[in-house]
Amino acid sequence: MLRTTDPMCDVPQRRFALRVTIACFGLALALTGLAACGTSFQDDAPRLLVIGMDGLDHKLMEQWMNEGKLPNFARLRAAGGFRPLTTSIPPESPVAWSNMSRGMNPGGHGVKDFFKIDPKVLTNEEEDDDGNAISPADGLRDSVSLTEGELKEWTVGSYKIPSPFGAPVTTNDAKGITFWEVLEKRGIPATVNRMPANFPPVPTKQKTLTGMGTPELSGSTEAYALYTDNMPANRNSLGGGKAYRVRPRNGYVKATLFGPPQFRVGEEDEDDKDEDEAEESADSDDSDDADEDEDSHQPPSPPSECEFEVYYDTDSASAKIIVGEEIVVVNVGEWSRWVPVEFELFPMMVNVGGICRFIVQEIEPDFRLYVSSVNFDPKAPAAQISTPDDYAADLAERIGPYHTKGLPVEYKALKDGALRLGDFVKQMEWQRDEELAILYSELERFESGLLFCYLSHTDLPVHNLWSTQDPESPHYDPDKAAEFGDTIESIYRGADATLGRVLAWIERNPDVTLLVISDHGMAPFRRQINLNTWLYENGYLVLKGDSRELTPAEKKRLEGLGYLDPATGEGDEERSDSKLGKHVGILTRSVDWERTRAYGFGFAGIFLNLESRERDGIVADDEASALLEEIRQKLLAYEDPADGKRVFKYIYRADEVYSGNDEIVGEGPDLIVGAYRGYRVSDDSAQGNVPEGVLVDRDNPWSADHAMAHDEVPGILFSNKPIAAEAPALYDITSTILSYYGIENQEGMIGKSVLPPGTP
Amino acid sequence: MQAINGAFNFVFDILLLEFLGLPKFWGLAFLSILFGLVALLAFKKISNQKAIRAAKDRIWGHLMEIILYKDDVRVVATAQFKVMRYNLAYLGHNSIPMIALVIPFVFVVMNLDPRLRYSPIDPGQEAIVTATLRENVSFDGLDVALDAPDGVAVEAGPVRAADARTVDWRVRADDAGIYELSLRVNDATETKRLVVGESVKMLAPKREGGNPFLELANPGEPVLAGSSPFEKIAVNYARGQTIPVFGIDMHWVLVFLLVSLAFGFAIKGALGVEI
Repeated sequence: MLRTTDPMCDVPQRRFALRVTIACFGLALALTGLAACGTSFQDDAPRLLVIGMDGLDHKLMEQWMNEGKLPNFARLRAAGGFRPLTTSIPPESPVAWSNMSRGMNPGGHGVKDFFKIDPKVLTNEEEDDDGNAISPADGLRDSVSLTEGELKEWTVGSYKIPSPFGAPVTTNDAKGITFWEVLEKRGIPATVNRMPANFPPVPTKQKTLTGMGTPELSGSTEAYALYTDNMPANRNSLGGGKAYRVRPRNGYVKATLFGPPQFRVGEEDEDDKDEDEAEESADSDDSDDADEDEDSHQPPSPPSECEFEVYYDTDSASAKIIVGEEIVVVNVGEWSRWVPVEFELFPMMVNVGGICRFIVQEIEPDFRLYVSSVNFDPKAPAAQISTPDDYAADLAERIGPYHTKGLPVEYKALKDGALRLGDFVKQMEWQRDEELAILYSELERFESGLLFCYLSHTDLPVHNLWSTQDPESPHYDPDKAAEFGDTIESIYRGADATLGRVLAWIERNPDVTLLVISDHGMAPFRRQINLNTWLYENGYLVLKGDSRELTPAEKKRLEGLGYLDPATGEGDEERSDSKLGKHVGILTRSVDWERTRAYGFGFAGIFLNLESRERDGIVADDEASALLEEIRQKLLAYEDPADGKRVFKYIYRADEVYSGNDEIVGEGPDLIVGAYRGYRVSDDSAQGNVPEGVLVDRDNPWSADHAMAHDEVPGILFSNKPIAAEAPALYDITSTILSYYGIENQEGMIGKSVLPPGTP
Repeated sequence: MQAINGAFNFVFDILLLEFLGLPKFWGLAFLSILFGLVALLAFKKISNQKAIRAAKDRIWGHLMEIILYKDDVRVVATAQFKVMRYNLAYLGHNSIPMIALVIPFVFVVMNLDPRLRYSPIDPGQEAIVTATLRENVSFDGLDVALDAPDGVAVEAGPVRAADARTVDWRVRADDAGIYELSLRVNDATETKRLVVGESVKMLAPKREGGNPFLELANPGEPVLAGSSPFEKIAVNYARGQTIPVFGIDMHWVLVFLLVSLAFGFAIKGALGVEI
C-alpha cells in the first residue's frame, strides 16, 4: 500500500508492468512460433514414393514377369526386390489398407469388413427399453464412417428446414494414428491420394484425397440411372440403380435425373411418378427405406430433380444432351465428358451440385441412355473429400474434373445388365486415365517427404472381368471371352507401362525410394458360400417358427417387389427361392434371437449371440470358446458336395489373430472364415441373409475375389531398394515409412521396416 | 462494315498486346491506361475548362464562407444555396463531354467484350459447334456436313434436331490456333472460326444474320446473309469474363473502369485538365 502512495515507488511498479508486458509479448511470440512450427513442413525431407495398386496378384505378376510381359516390373525386381506381401485377415480392401495406413491389424484399428452391425439392435423386440422403435436394420453401418446425432428439422408447410442445432456429425471411426498424421507431427510433408477407408478424411494438415468409402452424391456406393423405352425384365430387382421409362418422340427425349432428397415432407404416393417422364423401379435399397419409413409412418422426402434433354440422330448415330447450360455431343456407345449437374434441395436457397457422365448405349430399335452415379464435383464438393478442403479443387484445376466415388467402376450396373461389358471396360479406361493424371501431376510437384498414390483400376475391373479368362467360371461366356479375354492382362501391362513412366522419372530423381504395393491378390470366385444357411442348417441360427416364415411386413414388401403372389402367398415361379431368402435374415426380423447361437455377417464373419454383447444373446461367455471350436471344426471338415473338396482352409479365431485392443477384438466377429481359392461368402450371406443352399454357383460378372484364406491371395511388394524382410506384411509398410524418416512405431503399431536399417 | 470491323480488330489486337502473349490483365491494363489518357485529352478539348475551373472555385469559396460565417445563419443559408447552384453548373459543364465520351467507351466495350467475356477452347478440349437453321429449311433428308481443317477432328455429329432446328457437332483441336470450319447445308456453305489457345483473342461465340448494328456489335466475324440457310452458327466458348487481379477475380469491365479512372485522375494535374 505504501508503495502505491509513494511517487518513487511507482517506478518499480511501472517496471513490473513493463516486464509483464514484455513477458506476455514474448509468450505470444513463442506461441505463435510454436503454432507456425506445427504447420510448417520440411522442404528437404527424404523422398519416398509409395504406389498402391489395389489387387495386383502375386501369382499373376510372377507368371507374366517371367513370360516377359511386364518388363518394367521385372526390371524393378532385378534392381531392388520383390516379395509376396502378407495381406489382412480377412483380405478385404478397407481392412487391408487400414492395416497399411495404421500399422495395426483389425484388433487395433477396428476395421474388420466393409460394414459393421450393432449387436444391441439384433432383437425380436419392436421397441427398445425406452419405447423407441427398434429394428435390426438400424444397426447396419459403414465400417469406417460413423454418423452420430440426428438431423433435427422444423416442418413449415410442406418443407423441412434443417435446424442449425441438430446436424449429425460424420467422423472417421477407424482407431489408431495414420502414418501421415505421424509424419505431420514431425514436419514431414505427405500427399496421400485416395487412401481407402479414409472417408471422411482424418483431420490433418497433410494433403489427402479420400478414396474407397467415398459415396456418390446421395450417399450410397452406386446410384446409376438407366433411361429406356424398353424397361428391363429385372427392373424390380436392380441392385445399384434405377430404370426409368422414357418415350422418345421425333428424336427427342426429355427426362429427369434424381438426386438427394429435398427438404420437403414426403407424400404417400411420392413414388407414383408420371410414367411418361420417369417410371421408377424399386430396388432393394429403396425397399429397405420403405420399410423403415413404414415403421415410422413417415414417407420419404421426394428426391431433388435435374431435368435434361436428349436429341438424337439415327443417321449419324450420335446424340446431343443438354443439362442446364451444358451441352455434350456424343456418339452412340461413347462416354461423355463429366457434366456438371445441380439439384435444388430447397427452393432458391439450397442447391447441391455434382458431376456425372452419360453414355447413349442405343437409339434404335430401343432407346437406352445410361447415366453414371453423380460424383462430388471436386471443384466444389458437397462433402469434405480432401484435406485441406481446397486440395480436391486444386487437383481439378490441374487435371480437370475427376471421379470421386470410392468404388469408381459401376459393377452393380454391370451385374444388373444396365451397363454392358464393353461400356464397363471403357469406364474403367477413363477412370484409369484420371487416376494416372493425379499420379503424374503429383510426381511433377514431388519435392520433399512422402507421396502415396492409390490406383483402383487394377482391382475392381479384374473382379468383374475374371470370367472372361476362366472357362471354369459358371459365368464364362465364350463370346465375351473372345472379345475381352485379354483385358486383365492388358490391365497388368498398363500397370507395367505406368511403372515404366515412374521409373523414368526416378532415373531423373535417383534419391527417391520407391515402394509398389498391393493390398491383396485375386483368385477365381466360382462357388459362393451361404454361411448363414450353413449355420441355419446346422442349428446355430434359428428362424422364427423354425422355418422361413415371413412376417406380414416382409410379405407385403416381397409382394410389392413381385416376388410373392398376393393371391396365393407363394413365390413367383420365375423368381428363384434364393430371391425369397434374400429377404430373410438377421436384418429383417426373421431370426429367432432367443434360440440363435451364432450368425454370419460380412464377407467372412461369424458372431456368437453372446449374452454379454448381443441384445437378446443366449450364449454365456464361459460357453463361447467351446462353441467357437465346435463351429470351427465343423466348417473345416465341410466339403463341397459338387467335388468333395474342402471349402475352408482356415477358420480363424479373432482372439488368436487379432491384437491391440481387447474391447475392439471382443466386438466381433468371433470367427473369420478363410476359404480356399474359388470360394467366398455370398453377397446375400454377407448382408446377413439366409438364402437357399449352402454352396451355390457364382453366375455373376463379379467372378474373382480375395476374401479368402489370407495366404491364398497375397499382395505384392516391389522396391527399388533391397527388401530386407523375408515375409513382409501390410502393417510393416507403416513401420517402413516411419523408419524411413527415423521415427519409431507409435502406440499399437506392430510392424517392422521391410527395408534394411539405415535406409535412406 | 466488315472492313471497318477488320481494321478495328487489327488495332485492338495490337493495343491488347496480344503479340506478347501476356495474361489477360496486362493487355487490358495497357488498353485501360491508353483509354484513360485519350479520354482525358478528349475531355480537355471538348469541355469548357475555364467554366469548370470557375465553378469549382466558386464551390470552394462558398464552402469557406460556410465555415467562416458559421454563426451567421443568413450567410450560411445563402452560401449553401450557392454551393448547390454551382454544383449543378459544374455537373452541367461535365455532362456534355462525359456523354460524348460514352460513345468511344461503348465502342471499346463492344470490341473488348468478345475477347474478354469468353475464353478460347483449351488445346485438347472438346468444343460444340451448333448451327441453327432458318424456318424455311426442311429437316427431312437434310444434307449437312462440317469440314474441318487439318488439326481439328470432328468427333461426333451431326445431330440433327428438327424440333430445335439445330445441328450439332463435337470438334477438338490438340494445338492452339485459329481454325476455319466450313459448314454446309444442302448446297450452301458458311464458315465459322474456332479459336483454340490460351491468350486473348477476338472470339465470336456466334455468327448471326441481321442488320448492320448487329454486325458492329459482333465484330469477330461477318454476319450471315439473309439468304443463308444458317440463322446462327455458335461455338460454346467458356465464359471467362472475370480477370484475376492480384488474386481477386474481377469482371473485366470493372478492371477497365478502375484502371482508366485511376490513371486519368493520377495524371490530370500533369496534363492540366480540370475535371
